[in-house]
Amino acid sequence: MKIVTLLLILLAHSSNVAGQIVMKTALLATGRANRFIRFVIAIGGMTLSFFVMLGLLQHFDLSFLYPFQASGLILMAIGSRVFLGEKLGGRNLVAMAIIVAGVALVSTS
Amino acid sequence: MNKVMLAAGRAASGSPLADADQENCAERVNAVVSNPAPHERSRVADFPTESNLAMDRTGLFHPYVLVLLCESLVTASEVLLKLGARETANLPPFLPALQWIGASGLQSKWVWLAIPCMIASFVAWLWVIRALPLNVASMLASVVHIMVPLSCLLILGEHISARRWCGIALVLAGLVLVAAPRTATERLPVFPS
Repeated sequence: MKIVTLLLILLAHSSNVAGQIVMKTALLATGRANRFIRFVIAIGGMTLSFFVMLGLLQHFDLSFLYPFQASGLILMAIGSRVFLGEKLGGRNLVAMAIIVAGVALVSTS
Repeated sequence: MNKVMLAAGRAASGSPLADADQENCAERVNAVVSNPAPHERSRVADFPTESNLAMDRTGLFHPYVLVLLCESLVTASEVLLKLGARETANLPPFLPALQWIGASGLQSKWVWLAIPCMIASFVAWLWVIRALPLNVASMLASVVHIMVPLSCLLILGEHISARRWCGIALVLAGLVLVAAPRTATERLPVFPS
């Protein structure tokens, strides 16, 4: 797998995760304008993710790309820990390690 | 309130409580939930009792059927997107500088069919998480990581190597570990028989 492909997969999932985190902050935000701006940014992130994924699907098998969606879970856990201050338990860290191992196995197949 | 919830959780986790005690617990929980003290209202709102989850759960609206429907729609949208992407893979990009963005995929009818499937799956997911605790819903939703590769094999004709199957199995194991309930309260039955 080329490094560009890996970066594009990472871009697709990180923009989706960023969109979801911003969406969560939009739901918690006060003030209509503030909430609207965050909502637009969130939709933008998810749209970017959609098109990058569509571009990747034009070149790679779905069975190859789909397991990478689980890496979004890891990005989401890290993002919610860093930006939202949510707790990350020991079991989540073990699960993350297993998912990373699985994704690594798929990416080298 | 805490004691009532603790007792209800203990009952759910299989602790040796007499039937009469369990009935008593359920009655007390329902009494507190239906008429909470002002300082307990926010905590009660998310407590999964029958009264909090009053909705039609028969036929298509049964939560497990909805999970299956939701994940089938997700699988359908992924397969349709792949069909659209395959159809438009050789078309020139709208902007050569942005060739890594698959906007040319919008010229395929399959992609436009995938979008309503994605929206419908989102709506079905909202129904699911309304009816089931999130950790249970997430765990059941992991079935999509089996449905998608199977669809790739059966519908798209993709070859899935043994190594890739092992990777998919590991990802599934990790997802189940994340979603498995951690406490007795999380295992509280949502649908008392």
